[in-house]
Amino acid sequence: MKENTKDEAHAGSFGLRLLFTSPGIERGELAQLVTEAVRSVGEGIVGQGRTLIGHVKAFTSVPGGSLRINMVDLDLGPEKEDRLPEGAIVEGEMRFMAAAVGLTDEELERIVKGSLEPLGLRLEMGILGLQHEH
Amino acid sequence: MIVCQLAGFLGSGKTTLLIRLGTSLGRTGRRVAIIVNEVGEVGVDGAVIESNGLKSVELTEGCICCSLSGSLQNTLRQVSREFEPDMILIEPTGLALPSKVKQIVRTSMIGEERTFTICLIDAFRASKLFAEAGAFLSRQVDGADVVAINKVDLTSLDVREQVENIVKNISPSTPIVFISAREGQGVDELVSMLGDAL
Repeated sequence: MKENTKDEAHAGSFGLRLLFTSPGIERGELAQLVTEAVRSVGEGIVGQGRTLIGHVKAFTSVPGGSLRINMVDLDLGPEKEDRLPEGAIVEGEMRFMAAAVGLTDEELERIVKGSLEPLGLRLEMGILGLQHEH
Repeated sequence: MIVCQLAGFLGSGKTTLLIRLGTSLGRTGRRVAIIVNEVGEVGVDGAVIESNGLKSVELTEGCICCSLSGSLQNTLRQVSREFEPDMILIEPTGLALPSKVKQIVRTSMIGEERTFTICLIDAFRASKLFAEAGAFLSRQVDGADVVAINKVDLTSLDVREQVENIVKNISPSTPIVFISAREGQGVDELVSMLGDAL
């Protein structure tokens, strides 16, 4: 049997891709919502009694710009590279990915999806790509 | 053609370093091909890399050192044949073992002159990471041609020395460089090493 390094590291992962639309959201608010979603994933992992040993990342692309957010440590918090354009943003794509030691794929899926709920209150979202078990 | 692997645990800074290296080498006129691997079905790093003006081939839904080894071999052959790069930069997942990726590259028979492995260590989280996943990280360090202790902009000299000692205990003879991929500190040294290898 071929060695699976993900199992060897006792790590889980979950990622999803979604398209969103909005009547018009300003860059600052969008950045804050996504940042809080990333932070929420980290807090969800810690809430499971685990240390965040892993990586939570999100990339949002909209016409004319993008937003990259990474978090590897709750004390450091999310790091942001904001290239979103000025003006009302009406559509875009988001990619979320979380990988962490000590959690299963299913646990991470639940945490990530839960963390995206506040976004759903402000944006119309359609999930495209999901992590599947192999 | 050189194949350079940027290994390192989750969140160690591989993508940030890859963007710097790819951009620097591209400016010198080198043809650089990038292969990036994501353990989940949805890739994020590929989109980040492309937003920085670089092109990449993304392999998702597995790890190229095990479940996606066949895909890596096929991609290496296709890239080397169609693009004829001077260098192929590979970013595996943070859960990959570089020694296994190196072996897969070798058996791909693409005629590379040399493989070069840079293993990144996150200096800021090193003590926590080695406490939780030390055996796995040690396997990642072992077999690297150079260890890049990253995020030195976030750490004190004392912490850097501690991390250096941890690495030296694992692999006493491997060269070590101190970098901040985010700030660009120390990256020129890595670019020079790669340039010398070309």
